Amino acid sequence: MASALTPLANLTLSSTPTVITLSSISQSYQDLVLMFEGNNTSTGGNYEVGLRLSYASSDTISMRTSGGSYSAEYRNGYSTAPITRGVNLESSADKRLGFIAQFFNYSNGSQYKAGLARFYKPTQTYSNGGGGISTFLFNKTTAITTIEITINGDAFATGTTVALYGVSA
Amino acid sequence: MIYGELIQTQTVGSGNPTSVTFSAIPGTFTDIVAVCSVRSAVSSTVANMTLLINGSSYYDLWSLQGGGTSVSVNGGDQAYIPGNTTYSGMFGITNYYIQNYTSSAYKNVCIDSVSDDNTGTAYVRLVGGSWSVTSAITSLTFSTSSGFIAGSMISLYGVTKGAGGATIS
Repeated sequence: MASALTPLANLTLSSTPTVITLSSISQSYQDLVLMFEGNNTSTGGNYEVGLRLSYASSDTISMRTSGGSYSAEYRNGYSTAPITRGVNLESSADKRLGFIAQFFNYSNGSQYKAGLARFYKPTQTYSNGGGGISTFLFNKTTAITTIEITINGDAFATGTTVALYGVSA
Repeated sequence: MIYGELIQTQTVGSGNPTSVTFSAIPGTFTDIVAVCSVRSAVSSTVANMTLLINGSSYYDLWSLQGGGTSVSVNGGDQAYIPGNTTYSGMFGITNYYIQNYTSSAYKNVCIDSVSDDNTGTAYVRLVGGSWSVTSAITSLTFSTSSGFIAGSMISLYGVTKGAGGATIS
């Protein structure tokens, strides 16, 4: 059986960046799938993970999350989508946060860009962990050529893994 | 749902076996995905399905679950699947996604499951779990009390990372 996913890029961090940038993304697919699993470098704090798509400071997002410490959370007006809203990165290697994000019709040049992120971090400390699902919309109509993964106030730890796949129509 | 290259499909026959095991899982992929269409023989409308990784049960686990109109957060519960008093022919859908399944870190598992009793109540669980398994995953065992109904089916897929379609830094 042929694979439904075409691998486009992957990285295991050997440094501690504050932003992970995926650039020069092929425009040959219908959708994109982004896999992430990792930690941050510092303990404590509120280290949410966010996404930016072909970032411009004028971008605005609308986003809804269910999960974590939010049964239903609505965010808008930001240029970064905090897709793991309410669920923090931790430095413990046993508490890695994972997410699987899908970007639909990403190369379209006339539609706003919508996506879905399923995030999860195994811990029974609900106020600081768990997981859930976020839907997000960026008010930009240009094709997505770069994706940035951001962290709020810290850096990603070495060993964090990122992989990007294309989905054909 | 994310599919990859099919590794194996198992279809349950007669006798209501209480578990389905995939063994000798090759270590040649980056991630693995299990897609389940299953029903339990237990005498209720909904049942639980549990996962053993290399024979071990979970270390830490969180779930966001909904049944009917209520939503709650729990520790320790895994997938919802239909029991045998729901309407005939109803098989629930559960998907498991495991990133970096050959790594030496604890294994994070993303579980999404949905069931329906055909009386106005749907059951959904979004789960993030950790298994304290530091060796590569070579076996997965799916279990339910009273056993699986004939026709239940579980497929295992592999997803392989790669490069050439984008740049990550």
